[in-house]
Amino acid sequence: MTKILYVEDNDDNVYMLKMRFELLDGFEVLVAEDGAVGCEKAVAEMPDIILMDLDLPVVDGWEAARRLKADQKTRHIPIIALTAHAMSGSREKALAAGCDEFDTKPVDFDRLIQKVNYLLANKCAG
Amino acid sequence: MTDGSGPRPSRTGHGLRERLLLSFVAISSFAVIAAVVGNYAFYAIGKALHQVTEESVPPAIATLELAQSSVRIVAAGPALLAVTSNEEFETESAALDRQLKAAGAFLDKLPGQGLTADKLIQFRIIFRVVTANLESLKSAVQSRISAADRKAALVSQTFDAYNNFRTIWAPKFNELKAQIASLQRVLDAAGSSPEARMAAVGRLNAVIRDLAPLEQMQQEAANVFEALVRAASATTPAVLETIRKDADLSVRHIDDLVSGLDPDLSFELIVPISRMRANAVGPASVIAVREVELQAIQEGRRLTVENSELSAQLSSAAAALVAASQQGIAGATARTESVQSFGRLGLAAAVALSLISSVLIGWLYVGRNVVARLTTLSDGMRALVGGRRDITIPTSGSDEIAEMARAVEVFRDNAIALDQLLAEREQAAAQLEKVVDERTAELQQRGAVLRVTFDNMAHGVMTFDREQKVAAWNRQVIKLLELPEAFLAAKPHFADFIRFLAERGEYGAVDVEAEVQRFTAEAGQHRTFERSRPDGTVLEIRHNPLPDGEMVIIYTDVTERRRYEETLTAARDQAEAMSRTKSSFLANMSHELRTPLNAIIGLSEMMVTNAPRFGTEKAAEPLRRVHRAGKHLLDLINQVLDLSKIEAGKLDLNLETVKVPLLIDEVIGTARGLAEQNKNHLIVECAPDIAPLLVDPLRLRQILFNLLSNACKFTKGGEVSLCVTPVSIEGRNWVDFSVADTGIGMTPEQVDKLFEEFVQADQTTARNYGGTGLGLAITRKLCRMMGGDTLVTSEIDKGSVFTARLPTGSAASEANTDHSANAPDEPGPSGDCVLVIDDDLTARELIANHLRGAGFAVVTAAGGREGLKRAEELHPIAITLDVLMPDIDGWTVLAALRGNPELADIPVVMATITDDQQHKGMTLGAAGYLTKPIDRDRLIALLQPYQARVRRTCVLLVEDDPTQRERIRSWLEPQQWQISEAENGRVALDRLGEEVPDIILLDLMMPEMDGFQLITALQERPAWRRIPVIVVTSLDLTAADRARLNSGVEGILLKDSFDPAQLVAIVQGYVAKTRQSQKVPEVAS
Repeated sequence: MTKILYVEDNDDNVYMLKMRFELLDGFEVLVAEDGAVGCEKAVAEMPDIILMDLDLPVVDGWEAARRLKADQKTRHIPIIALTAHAMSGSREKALAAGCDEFDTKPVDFDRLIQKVNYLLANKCAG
Repeated sequence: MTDGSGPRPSRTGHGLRERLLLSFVAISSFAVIAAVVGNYAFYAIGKALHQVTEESVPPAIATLELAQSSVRIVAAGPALLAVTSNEEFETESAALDRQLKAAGAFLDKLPGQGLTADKLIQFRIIFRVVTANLESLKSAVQSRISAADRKAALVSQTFDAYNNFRTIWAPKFNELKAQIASLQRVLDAAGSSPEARMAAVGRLNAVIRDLAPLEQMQQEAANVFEALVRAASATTPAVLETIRKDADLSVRHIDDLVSGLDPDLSFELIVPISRMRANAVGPASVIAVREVELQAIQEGRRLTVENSELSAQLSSAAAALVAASQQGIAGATARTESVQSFGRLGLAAAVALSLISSVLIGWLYVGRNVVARLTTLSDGMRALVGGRRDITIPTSGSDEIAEMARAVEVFRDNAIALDQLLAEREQAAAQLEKVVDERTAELQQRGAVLRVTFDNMAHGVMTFDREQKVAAWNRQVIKLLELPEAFLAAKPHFADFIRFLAERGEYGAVDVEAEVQRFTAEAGQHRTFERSRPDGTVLEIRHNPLPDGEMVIIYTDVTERRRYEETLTAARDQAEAMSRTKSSFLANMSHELRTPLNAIIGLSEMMVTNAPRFGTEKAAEPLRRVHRAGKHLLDLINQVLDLSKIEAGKLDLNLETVKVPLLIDEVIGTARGLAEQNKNHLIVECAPDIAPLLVDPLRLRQILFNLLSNACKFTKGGEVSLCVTPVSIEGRNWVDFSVADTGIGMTPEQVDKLFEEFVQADQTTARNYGGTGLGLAITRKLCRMMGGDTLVTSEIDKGSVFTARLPTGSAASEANTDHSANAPDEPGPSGDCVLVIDDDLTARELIANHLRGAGFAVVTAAGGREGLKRAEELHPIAITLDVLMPDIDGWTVLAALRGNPELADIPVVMATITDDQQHKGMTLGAAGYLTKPIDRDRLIALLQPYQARVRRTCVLLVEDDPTQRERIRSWLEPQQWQISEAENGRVALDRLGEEVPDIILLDLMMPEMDGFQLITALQERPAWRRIPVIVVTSLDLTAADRARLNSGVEGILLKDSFDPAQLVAIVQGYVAKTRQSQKVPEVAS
């Protein structure tokens, strides 16, 4: 059972993604509504992969990603940044913050699954 | 020279003038004093004289009069006493009364004071006594006279009685005597018988017996009478007594005798005897009366004696009075004399003093002080002038002469100094020459530097002297214009200079002389222009005439600059094109973007509502989310599009008269749900009598909903209120829609950022509260489009108030409405207007208001297409044209205007934000150019010429007879109208092609093309159809003719049936009517 931590404040997005992953069997989706809660839950639950929305209240996605990557305990957890910001430079900025992958919203679910699987596989490998 | 102190201030040099003045004043004052003294003396004398004449003399006169009166009174006494009759008495009495009265009057005139006082009292006393005495005297005399009169009457009576007695007695006596006589005869007769004798003797004795008493009676009667006569003049009472006794006796005797008489006789004698008795005896007798008379006389005498004594007293008293008053006069006279002598003395003294002081002043002061010093001074000056420098000047004193002396001293010192100076001058002159040489060298040096600068300037400079001949030039101008040095060295005239250039082809292929003419004509004006040279360079040339007639021309090579400008212009055009593309892109995308949303929203809704049908019961929640997200997206897209539409000026407002309370109800209905979401309490206050507003109801709802949803969004468990209130600010009326909340509020920094698009108060707020931040930006833009604005006040943690303020009445009506409170422009007296084309409402209104203020009639158009349409309809006198417009841009419009022959002559002023498109404008034929923000004065200045131009009415006179043409022209010319003539219809058409007149005066019978044909031709063109035509003909028109004329002719005048004034009035009337009918209100674009 792959544990996914989805850090997202928009209710509709949470609803949709959670439902879609859980429809696939083998995925469990945990939710955090802001960056701070996200970091806490990451430490507490130790998910296999984190899907991080970037525009978050309290602590935003970039900062949360940095913290998680800085923390020994959570460094190894792959993070996919998700954002509606479609401008050039967003990808670089996310990767610079420590994210392992980057995707834009609206989410192409198949592409996302691919990325998830890829990261999980590589993580396990290294 | 001198010590350098110039003329000293005259303050210290006063004295001479003042002292002389004082002297004169002193002398004059003595004279004045003398005059005063003299006057006083006159016054005193006058007073004394007055006293004399008023106070002393009248009484004195009165006393004299009184004395005279007294004398007369004194004389009156004896006179009175001497009167013998009543008349005399009356006269004398009256005279006496007069005198007494006069005396009394004089007495009253006398004053009771002064010297005469006691004398007067004495006099009065005596006078009173005298008066009394005289009165008594009067009465005594009066009684004497009355007694005398009575006595006389009685005596006369007695005399009558006695005569009466004798009359009666005498016959009887005589009879008896006769008897006796006869008897005697008898007796005596010898022949008488003794018996007869005896008888006779006996009768004789009887008769004698009868005769004796009669005789006795008569004697007694005579006695009585005589006694009474004596009594009347008896002088003493004793004598009177004797007479009384005598008379008494005689009366008694008579009585005795009467009884012995014959009864008949005694009866007859009763009357006289009793009369005589009465008068002789008793109280009424003469005697008694005489007694009374004697008493009166006695009294009279006594009184007279008294009177004479009193008279003497009176006279003396009068004399005393007179003396006293004379004394008074003497005293007054003496006083007068004393005053007179005093006056004389005083006057003499004053005059003497005056004389003495004059002499003293004249001699001592003027002579010694003034004249002497002046003489010294003038001697000194003469010496100075003569060349001596060693003189001394007396400078003591503080008056003008001392001043002068000091000045002379200065003069002397100056003269000495001057001598010195002349010596120094020689030295200085030599020095100066040396300096001049040095300076000249310096100047030459500088001149060389300037020359080098001048020559090497980047600008070419050419100067012309006062005679317009070449004066100076620099290297650059030679280079720029490729001028031969030799040519310039000859200092050609400006005209020759131009000729040279023209002949060389500088201006291209032109008429050389014409060019020369043109340039010389404009030589005196400041001009800046650009010119392309044959070799391709572009020069900017500035002609600068100087006030004294010289001229400087500066040439600058601006080829590069032009190139840059062109590049920039091209880039700008490109940018504008791109902007336009963007706008149309956005506009088109609205359609594209909304289409897919249609499916999303619609289908998801369908599947929720008809879940059983599609078996989507379980999918309800996801589908609802899909639907909601779709609606949200649509909302966002609409906002973005709204915003871009507003930016591009393509948002249309559909204004309607909206009943505010109704609209509020609708909005609130929708907002209630929002309020409940955050547990907010919604309050609405709207006065039911708010006037209906002219707004776009859709947009107003949008605004209100935006404000309410914001308020609800940012407030939790609080209060949101919407208040609609009418407001009046500086005379304009507005309606405020205020949404107040008790939410989180904003800091001042947040308030500032509020209306920026895409910015929420901050990122956190966006996260918490959602939204894109577009709503407020749109709200504000919409408010402004409707002529209002949005206002915000807020306090952090307390809440905020957002107000949408919209104008009521005329202000809300702008571009898209037919009825505005600014009345539709009356095309002014000229009937023509300025067309303002601008897509931006604010700019349009601004220009329109400026122009209206300057007296133009204005019609506006909100875009290029509309503008062109309006231009064709209205043929305005001028057009202002915005460059940046969304549908077709200003340049295109301008080109279109120029391309249309009917509109090509209308002057167009371009208005734009950038100011380097001037060339483009000029090249395309714009008449002027303004940058936004529009400078009002420049705008008016640009359009002023066209305003003036149009006011002249233009009359086209079509008439083949030149005399008649001349006549009509002379009638109309005083009106300052523009009059053009045509001798037939064809020529008239030519004229119409040049300029469209305001009215045509048309003859019918003309060669080539007559009036009827012309009228038909006029109907063909809309611009010409409008022109009012007045037919002036001498024809007798048939019905058919009139029918032909009916369409297209305003009026028909018979030649010679109207006078100049009438024609003018008719023309004016038709022109005004036509212009009035051209008034058209603005229409929504």
